[in-house]
Amino acid sequence: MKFTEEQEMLRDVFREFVQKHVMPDSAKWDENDHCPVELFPLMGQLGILGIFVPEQYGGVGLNHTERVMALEEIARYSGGLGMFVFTHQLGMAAILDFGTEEQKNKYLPDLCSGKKICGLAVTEPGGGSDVMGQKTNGRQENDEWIINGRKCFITNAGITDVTVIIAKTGVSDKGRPELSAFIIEKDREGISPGRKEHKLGLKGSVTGEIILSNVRVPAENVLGKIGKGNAIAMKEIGEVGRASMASICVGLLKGCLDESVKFSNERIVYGKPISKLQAIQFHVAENRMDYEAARLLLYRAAEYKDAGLPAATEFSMAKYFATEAAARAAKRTIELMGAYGIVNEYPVGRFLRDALTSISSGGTSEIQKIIIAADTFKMYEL
Amino acid sequence: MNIVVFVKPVPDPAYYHKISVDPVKKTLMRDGIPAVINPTDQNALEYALNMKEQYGGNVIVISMAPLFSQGVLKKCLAMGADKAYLISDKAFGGADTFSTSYTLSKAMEKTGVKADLLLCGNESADGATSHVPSQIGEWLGCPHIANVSSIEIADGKALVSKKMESGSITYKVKLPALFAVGRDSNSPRLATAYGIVMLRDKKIEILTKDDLDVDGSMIGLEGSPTQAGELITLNMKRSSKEITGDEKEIAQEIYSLIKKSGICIQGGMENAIK
Amino acid sequence: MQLNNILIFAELKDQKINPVFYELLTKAKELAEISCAKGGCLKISGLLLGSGLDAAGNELKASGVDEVFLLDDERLAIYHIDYYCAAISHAVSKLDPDVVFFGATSIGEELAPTMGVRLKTGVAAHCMDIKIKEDGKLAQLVPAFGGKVVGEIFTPSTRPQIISVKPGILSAAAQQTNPECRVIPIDQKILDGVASDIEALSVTTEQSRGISIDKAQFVVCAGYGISDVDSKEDLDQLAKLLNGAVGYTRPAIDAGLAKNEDNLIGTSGKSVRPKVYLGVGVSGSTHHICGMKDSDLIISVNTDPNADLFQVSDYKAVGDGAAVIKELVKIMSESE
Repeated sequence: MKFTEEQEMLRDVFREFVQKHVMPDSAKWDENDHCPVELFPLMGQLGILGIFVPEQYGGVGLNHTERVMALEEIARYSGGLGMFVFTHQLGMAAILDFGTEEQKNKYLPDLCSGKKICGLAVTEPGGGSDVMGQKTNGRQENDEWIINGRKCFITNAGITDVTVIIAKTGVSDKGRPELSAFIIEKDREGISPGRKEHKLGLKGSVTGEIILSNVRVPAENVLGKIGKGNAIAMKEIGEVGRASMASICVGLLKGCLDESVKFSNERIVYGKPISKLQAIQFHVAENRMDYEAARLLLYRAAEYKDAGLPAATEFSMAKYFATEAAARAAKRTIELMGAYGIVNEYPVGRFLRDALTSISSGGTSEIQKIIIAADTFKMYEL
Repeated sequence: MNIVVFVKPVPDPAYYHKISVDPVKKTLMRDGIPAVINPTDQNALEYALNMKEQYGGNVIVISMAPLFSQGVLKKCLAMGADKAYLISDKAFGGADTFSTSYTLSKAMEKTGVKADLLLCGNESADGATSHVPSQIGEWLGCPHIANVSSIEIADGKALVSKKMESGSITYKVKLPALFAVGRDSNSPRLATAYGIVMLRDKKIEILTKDDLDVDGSMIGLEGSPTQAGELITLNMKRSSKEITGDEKEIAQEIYSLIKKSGICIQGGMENAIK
Repeated sequence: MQLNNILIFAELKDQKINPVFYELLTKAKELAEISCAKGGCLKISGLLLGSGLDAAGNELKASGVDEVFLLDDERLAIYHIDYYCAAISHAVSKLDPDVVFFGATSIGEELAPTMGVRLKTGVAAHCMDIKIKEDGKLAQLVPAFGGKVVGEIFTPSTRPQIISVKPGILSAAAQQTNPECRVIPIDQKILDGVASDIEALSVTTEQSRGISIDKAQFVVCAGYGISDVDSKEDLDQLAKLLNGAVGYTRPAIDAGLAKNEDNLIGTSGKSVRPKVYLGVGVSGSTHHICGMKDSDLIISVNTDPNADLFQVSDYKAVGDGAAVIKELVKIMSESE
């Protein structure tokens, strides 16, 4: 997998930012469950937030390959910050892909600069996997839509300035629910954060409820066409959300690889570094394989998306593989490190928690397998 | 305003503890260490970019280095510099600070840039002589001050503060002038993704010996009044006897070592100086 | 290659001669002895510039030099590169020395390379030592890569050879006054012809609190491992109890333990050679070690058993440096 000189220079930009502003504090963010909103303007300035947004809307004008590269570098030290950033980008992508020119010009510049925070709210208590079964609803009244409902397990809940909310707005002729997407600003009356979850991992991002109580939204805030909300949600979750979860886990995998090599070289047992022991070498080789494979799947999918090809299944494969591999590698690295692996001074415990959390986020592994299977059978139909 | 910054690509200082001298060939072993912008040159570039934001104008970067150092110059352009010149030729190899500064001054003349301000970092991380800035100023015939910690521009003059051991001296200097700045004079910015994309429209111009109007006897090894001899790595090893125990016991042992050392523990200032 | 005379640039510090002069003088005397043993005679001259130089001029005359060049002028009251260089050029043309020594102070560091171009000669910066080789050549030992590597520099053909040395690198020994030392005043008129685009406006002096780190008998150096700012009080207290000073490494300063670089110990900061150096939480980068390696007794404490500083220490202890300092302060306060 070769990157261009420009991409390598970008990677250095991301790395320098991470070394200076993420690495020193990531353990603290995890320990204190702190979401570093204070870094947002700087990340906007550096072009990390709007890297895939066209220049006319305040973005850098690059693509999703560069976007996941940034997340990979960030997640090497903070999966939580990676989650915070990509959720913001999830909402931005929805506006970019489906918004009118007015909507794009109104919202994207501030979202690229980090002046405002964005998010996408789909999941409900009734189901995350069962998107169509959601209860949040919107009804039209003259020029306005009135939204009611409750979203849960929403990242960036409570800190977004602009949220793209999916709600049920009708029923089709065939009796199937119709969903629509709405752009809702935080100062609209009736929208408020609910409980905040204390997550196992990916701390450094906020996850919680959003409560919508008779929120009045003007027609100009409808994103895309009425009834097309599911397509919007699935496209963004499929191609941006899953891509991001995969890249976070590739970052975690690199962390596991780095820590396992470092420890193996430094730990002296029986008078030699443990890197001389075959059992340890096997562990390191497996970490390496998991990292390389996950990375290849991720960048292959990103390449397809940037070329304008369908990439949902490719991202599904990358997400499924990378998240499971990260959990495997983290567990493996903890065991390689013996007693040191279970001491919180080392980041590997955090890597494991972040990886497990990632498996359940952005579509469970079971959902990914259903998607992959469906695509596989289709592949043979022709 | 036209601001020129002289930049040196250096091996990354984070790896200096790995550098050693080949005991047989007596040459420096520093393979594999990546090149970075000399740290204090980043401070100089930061001054330049700040001034560009304040007064408008152009920031030009000049460097004398091997061809593979282009990546370092690209980084300067990505940070916001407008153009870069890389002076590169085998003939410049082996130059000491005298002929390096001479060559850089000739390169400056060749660019045709009417500089208002010329900036350098105080010293390079590898050679650390602090010579080149003052010497470039001499060759160019412009006023120059080293170890500057602040620069204010007004009416074609610069008000600068030169850092001294116990305080500073303030000078008023007519522009164009050259200043060398130090590490804690400002906080260098990070390159941005926006800057990387803008690189596509920026150029690095490469100048060889034939492009410059130089006196051949003043460049490279031949033009260097100083010549290098043997290289050695210092052996500073000591006995390294271990003090064991918990922190209290360690402190106790250190206290008795201090008493035995002959330091006067009680008493006033007159006892403090050895 | 015979050395006939060495000119040493003397600076004022608090109206007296900056101590680095005596370090350079001692080295010059050493070279004179070697040179004279080979059948030559090396004259050592001092050059002093400034305003109100009566006391300093006398001090220089008695220092052990054979000759003093002196220019006492108001225009030299505040250090000014063009005036100072004009005076140095004049002294060099009159004396035609083989070697000119500068202390690598903020003044000397600027004068040395500037004079190098004005006199079209070589300059060796920040020398760690100067030796006369078997073949009579003068070898100047200079550090590179933060001091990891030391190289020999020669200035084979151009004259004078200009050499700068950082304060605290060489040692100073008292020298016998030369009763025949004469003071040669430099005509103030030479400054009249100086056209300069630089105007010296004012001097700001910072009151340094406590003992100067390069003179202290005891130095405790805090490294990155002591970045807990609470330890700062203990460090200051310990230094006070031992009539010493607190130094810092670069990483400690970057972590905010010190406000500025004034007490940075290392090749780009200060060199110290106290009776006792105690490093706590210092890993021991090359830059730092080169700034304290000549201390009489080196003790280091670090939680990392592989800290590089341990290699150059007389005594090492694996432990929490901040806690050790606390205990030390306790022990000492109780014993007084």
